[in-house]
Formats: sequence, C-alpha cells, structure tokens
Amino acid sequence: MTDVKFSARAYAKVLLHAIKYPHCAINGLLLGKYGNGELSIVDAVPLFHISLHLAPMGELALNTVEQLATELNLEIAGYYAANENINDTSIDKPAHRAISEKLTENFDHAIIAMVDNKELSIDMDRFALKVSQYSDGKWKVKDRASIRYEGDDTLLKALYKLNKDERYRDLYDFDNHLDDVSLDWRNRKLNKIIDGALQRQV
Amino acid sequence: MAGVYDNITWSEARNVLRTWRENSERQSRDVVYIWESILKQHVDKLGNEKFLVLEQVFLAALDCHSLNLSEKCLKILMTEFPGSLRVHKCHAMHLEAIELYDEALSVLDSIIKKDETNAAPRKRRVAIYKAYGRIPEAIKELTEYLKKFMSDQEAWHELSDLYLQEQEYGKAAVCIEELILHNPHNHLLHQRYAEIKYSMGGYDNMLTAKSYFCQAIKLNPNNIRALYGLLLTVNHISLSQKCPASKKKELAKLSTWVSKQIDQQYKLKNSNDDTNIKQVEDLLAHLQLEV
Repeated sequence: MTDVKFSARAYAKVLLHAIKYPHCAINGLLLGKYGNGELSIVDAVPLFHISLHLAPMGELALNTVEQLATELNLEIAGYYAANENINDTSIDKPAHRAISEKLTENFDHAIIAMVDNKELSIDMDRFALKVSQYSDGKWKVKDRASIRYEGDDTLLKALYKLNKDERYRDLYDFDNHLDDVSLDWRNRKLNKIIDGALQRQV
Repeated sequence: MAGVYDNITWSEARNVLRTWRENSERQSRDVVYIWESILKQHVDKLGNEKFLVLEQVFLAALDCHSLNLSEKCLKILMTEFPGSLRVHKCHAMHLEAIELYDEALSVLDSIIKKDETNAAPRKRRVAIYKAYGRIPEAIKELTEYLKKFMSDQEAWHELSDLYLQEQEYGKAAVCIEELILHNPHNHLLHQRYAEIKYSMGGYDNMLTAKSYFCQAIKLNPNNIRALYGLLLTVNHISLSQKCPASKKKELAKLSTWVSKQIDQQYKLKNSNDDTNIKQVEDLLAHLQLEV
C-alpha cells in the first residue's frame, strides 16, 4: 500500500463539484503521478452530474482527459464520485465500476475517492474523502493516516471561504461543457481562484 | 451569486420567486436566501400569494437542510389549512427530511386513502424507497404507479433513470420510447435513447443508436452530445466485423461530416480562445475515421 497525497487544487475541485450539485450523484477523474512510493494527485477533472450510467459521453470524456493528461505529463490515476444518497459511500455501483475497471488496466496504483456526504459541513472542519486503492485485484479502503492533503488546515480554511463565496458556481464539469461548449471543463479560471484563496490563508 | 439579490425590492423578490415557481426551477439556495434577506419582513404584503411562497420556501429549505426554517413554514401552513392534503404531503416530506421514513409512509398512506386520484403522495413513496437505497422496491412502486397514471412523463423519466442505476438498459430504453411517443419532436429524448442503445453495445444496437443520434441532430443541429455520440457510434460500427465493406465509405463520409459540425460548434462559441479549438481538433483527429 502506498501513501497518497492530494494537491489543494484537486481536493478543492472535488469538493466544489459535490457542493455545486447537492441533489445528485457526481463523478470525475483524478490526475497524478507515482514516484518514490507515493501517489501524488495533482489535479481533478469534474465530469458528470446528469447521468453517470451512459457509455458514450463517458468514453468521450476518458478520451479527452487522457489527451489532457498526456499534455501535462500526468496519468489518470484515480476516480472520484459522490453518491446521490447521503448515507451511501459504496464504490460498488455500476456507474463507478465502468470507469474504475478501465483505470486499473492502465495504472497500477489507481485510487477511488468517494465523498463522504455525512462528513461535509459548512465549517469544513475535516477532510471528507474515503479513499480506496486497488491492490491484488480488489479495492481496499485506505487508512486516513496514509493520506495527506497539501496545506492541511490552510486548505480547509480556504475551502470554507470558497464555499461561503459560492465559488462552486465557477466550477464547470464536462456535462456543463456539453450543454455549452464555451464553458471550460479544465477550469483554468477556477484554478486561479483556488490559488488566490489559498494564498490569502497563508 | 446571492449578491445579485441584495439590492432588490420586495416586489421584485416576489416576482423572482413567482417565475421560478411557474417554471419549476430548483433554485433552492437562492429561494432561501431571498426569503431570509428580503421577503420575510414583507410577508403580510403578499396577500393570498403568501401561502404559495411559504410552500415554495418550505421545499427549498428542505433541500438546503434548513430544518428550522422548513418547520416554521410548515407550522403556518398547518394552522391555516388544517385539513389540506397538500399540506399533509408537506408534513410527510418534513418527516422524510428528518429520516422518520415509517412515519412519513403512514402519513402518505392516509392521504392516498382519502384521495385515490392524488398522484403526489404515491410518488413520494417511491422517493422514500430511494432514500432507503432500496432501488428494486422503488422500481416496483413506480411501475405500479405508472399502471394507474400512464401519462405522467416525469415518472417515466424517473423510472428510466432507476433502471439505468440497476443497469437494466433494455427496460430503461422502453421508458424513453414511451416518452418519445408523448414528445416525438424532443431532440433530448432521441439523444437519450441513442445513448442507452449505445451503452447496451452490439452491432444491432449501434445501428439503432446511429439512427436516433441522427434524428436528434436533425431536430436540433446544435446538440453537441448527439454529434459526439454519432461520431463514436460510427467508429464502432465501421470497426465491427459485421459491417459490410460496401458500407464503410458511407460511414467515413458521415464521420467527416460530423467532425466538421463539431468543429464549427466550437469555433462559433470559442471565437476568442484558440487553445480550446486546437484541443478539440486534436481530439477529432484522434476519433475520426480514415477515408
């Protein structure tokens, strides 16, 4: 089992995506790289909130994100999702299986990060991800201690502010992009907003 | 953007809520914000609309988990209309929100007993099974409901989504067929049907998907999901061993045409951002068939 480190940007995007659509399931991909016994998650790409179960747009998104990953010299290292039901953090759902199986074919240390809806609060007083890693043909839940987040408390404080300022409205997922192709699923504008929020906390 | 609603008058606020109510827009966070910051102080000026607004705020508050607010609204509604089934339904929803599902079910059953033609409480029952995470039971309940209320389009849609969750693509497709009969000119339904057929896989399903994606594009040439979907479908068909050689040329032509359409959509919308266009052209080059 390897350690996992989330960049502030990746974590912030996963959470803002979940906050933007509180009434439905969401998913997305995590970009990162593996080195020195540590998996480093650098960025997140928010994908869907309308229907997680249909193949065509999923395939298209995988193709597109793969292209981005190559460009950035990263790999698709993980998958993240939040289930529709508040109590539900299970990863064994058809919607998740389709993409996670693809992941493990191409990447050895792939992870799935589920947003634990119950851990979310306005105060942002703790990290709300439940991370599982693929090893020996199974997904195993990782201990919280083996997961690190860039910035720790600073990141939580920044997220509190981002949520309060309703910055989730600046996050666009792939579904938004398919509704209006001028919306940027790479979220370059949001990246700057997140960076700014972090700097103000330091 | 709550800030947008900071400097509006109470009558403007009333109008905003009215529009959302009429279009059934789910702007829960904004509804609660507008209520708390403006309308709350002017509630007596609303006249008879007051109760409609209270119901709207009640639902929005449930959505935002502002249970104090929802309880306040509910109390006013209950005192004003003690025998109303509509308010009873709200009461059941409040019970749902605090996870007292059995109590909620019994309230709903009492409403159904009093008024068998009332559709809303039956649909809430489906929602409760969903909240329990018991999807097969939710499906059963909803199919029972649809036997009685066959023309409820929202319900067919929900049933289709539930079947998708269970990966019963065939049944999900049937629900969409039902909806297409109601709305033969809705491009989104044709697109959705094609997406389901594509997900089912196999040569014949791909051919069906192709026709439906084409129909969606015919109804709305700007439907980007249908355009991408058609491109992927055509790729699958022409790579299949079942595809006769004589057809391949035609498919390649279609593929070129679709790529051009997608490219145009991006050029139209991203006139000042070349990186997006470049990126999409790379992707298209990757996906397009060789002629």
